[in-house]
Amino acid sequence: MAIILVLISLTFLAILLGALATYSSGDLFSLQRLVAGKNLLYLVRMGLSTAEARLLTKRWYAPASEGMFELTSPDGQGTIRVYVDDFVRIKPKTVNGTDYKLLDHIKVSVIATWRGDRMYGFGKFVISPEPIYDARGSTIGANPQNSIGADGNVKYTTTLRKLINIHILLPDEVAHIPGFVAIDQFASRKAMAQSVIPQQLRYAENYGRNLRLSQAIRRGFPSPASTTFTVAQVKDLLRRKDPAGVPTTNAAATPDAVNRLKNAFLMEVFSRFFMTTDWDISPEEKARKLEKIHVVIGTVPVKTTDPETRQAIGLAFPGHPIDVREGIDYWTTFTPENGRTAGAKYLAQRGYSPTAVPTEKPSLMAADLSEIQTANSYLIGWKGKMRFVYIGEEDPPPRPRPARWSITVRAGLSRS
Amino acid sequence: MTVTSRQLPRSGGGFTVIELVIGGMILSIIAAIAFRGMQFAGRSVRMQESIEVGARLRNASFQLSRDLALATEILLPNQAAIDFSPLLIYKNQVNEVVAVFLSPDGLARYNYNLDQTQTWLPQATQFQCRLGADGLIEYQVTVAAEKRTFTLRNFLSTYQSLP
Repeated sequence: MAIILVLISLTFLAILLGALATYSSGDLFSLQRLVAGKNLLYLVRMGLSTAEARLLTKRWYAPASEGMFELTSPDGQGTIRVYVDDFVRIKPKTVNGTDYKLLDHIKVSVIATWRGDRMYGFGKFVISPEPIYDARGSTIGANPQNSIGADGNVKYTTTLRKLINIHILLPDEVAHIPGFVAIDQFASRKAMAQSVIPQQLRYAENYGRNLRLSQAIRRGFPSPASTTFTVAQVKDLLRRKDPAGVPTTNAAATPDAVNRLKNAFLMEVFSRFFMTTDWDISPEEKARKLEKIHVVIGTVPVKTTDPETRQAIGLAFPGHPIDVREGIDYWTTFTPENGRTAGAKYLAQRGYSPTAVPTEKPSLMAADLSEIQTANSYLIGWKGKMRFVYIGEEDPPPRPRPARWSITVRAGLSRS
Repeated sequence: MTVTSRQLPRSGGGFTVIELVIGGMILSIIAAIAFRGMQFAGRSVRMQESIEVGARLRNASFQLSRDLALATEILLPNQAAIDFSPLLIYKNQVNEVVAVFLSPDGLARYNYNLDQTQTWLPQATQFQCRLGADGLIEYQVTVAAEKRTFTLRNFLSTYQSLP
């Protein structure tokens, strides 16, 4: 009996210990996954940031077209390998009969490992204007007007350089990329870069698509009365906040609705546009930067002051010429005021409002915004009809003599 | 000296009272032990189920935290508050609008742009989130299993969002 009791106790103890071990190992595994994911994310970001910082200095690997460097995490358990690949513009720039290659962009690929786990990163280092692609490895853009000086040296100019299109990729995502074998192979890195293009397009399309919806949600969302929702309720809440009234799915959106969303996006970008190389910028800092952005109209044509011309126009077009007046009909400069950006003021002055976004094609709206009426021009077209009459005796008897000659004038008038 | 013995007459296959009492006692002990063993086994199974539920809770939290780590923007809650919100809305890695909430089917993730729903955790009984003054998004998920409740809290920095 005692043996039986001991056996049962041992069995029970084993069950308890087994359960405890399972619980502990499950907990430990989950914790390890979380820590690994977090560390790998930081390592990938560190690799991308370091690559960007180094590329801002120069292409250290020139004259080669690709470079690589490795980093180790401070605890020694993580490693980062960064690959950079130059992509040259297909069409060279010709200066004084000499063709110069231009650097289009640099692709940055990262692999981070930590305790056997991996994570990948990708970014595109863009440069504008494009630098001359030479052995010096500069990433500073060449002056577009005067790229090469008389001394044969490159003339540099202010350049925007930034790592964009950043993507973090998990091993299972990379494993499904067609043509990807190993990141140390150029073809694999190119395949990885191509694989993120659809995602980048979705990113951009959804940004425009959801801009107004996002703003509406941020501005105010009704406090949920319940702690549990059905999917239909959440869908309805979001749809009511969707100012364009677009059906839920992208595929079901009508052309007008899509145009409206794209135009809203253009208006938003125009009214809040500024250039920066900072990744993370607070809304306050953004507002401060926008206070320094002015919209300045370029050349404004001189209005007609010649009195004879004005008289002629007045005869041809009663009530004209009408002079457009700066400050009343048009403005040459827009400045931020009371929290309104210069871009927003320009849009308002042109009759564009966030509450009445046009449904015309975005290209038409952009064209309209790109030109303003600063003057009226008048075109007077003359069309003459002449009839010549013979003067003298003739047989048969001449017809009654009209005027020696006459000219019928028909003035075709137009204003543009 | 003659020794005689008197044998009791034995009928075919019977037990004495003492035998029956002892046998009954042994059977009772075995039954009690078996019963306790079954109770232990049942409790062990329930513990295993609890562990399983806990693991699912952690997995759901892992999925949500990864989603949030790659999110481009948190839309709701939109300002720091002490009170929790039962609805979390954000833009995911490709700027699709996504809502996470507790539905009758469990913890749900609804993608507005794709009109797709995923149920991450059918056993979830509560979900709430809030934005801290320090920019951290905090969420809590609770599951119930066999008279036990598990709550997982996580804090994530919203400044990790990709540009």
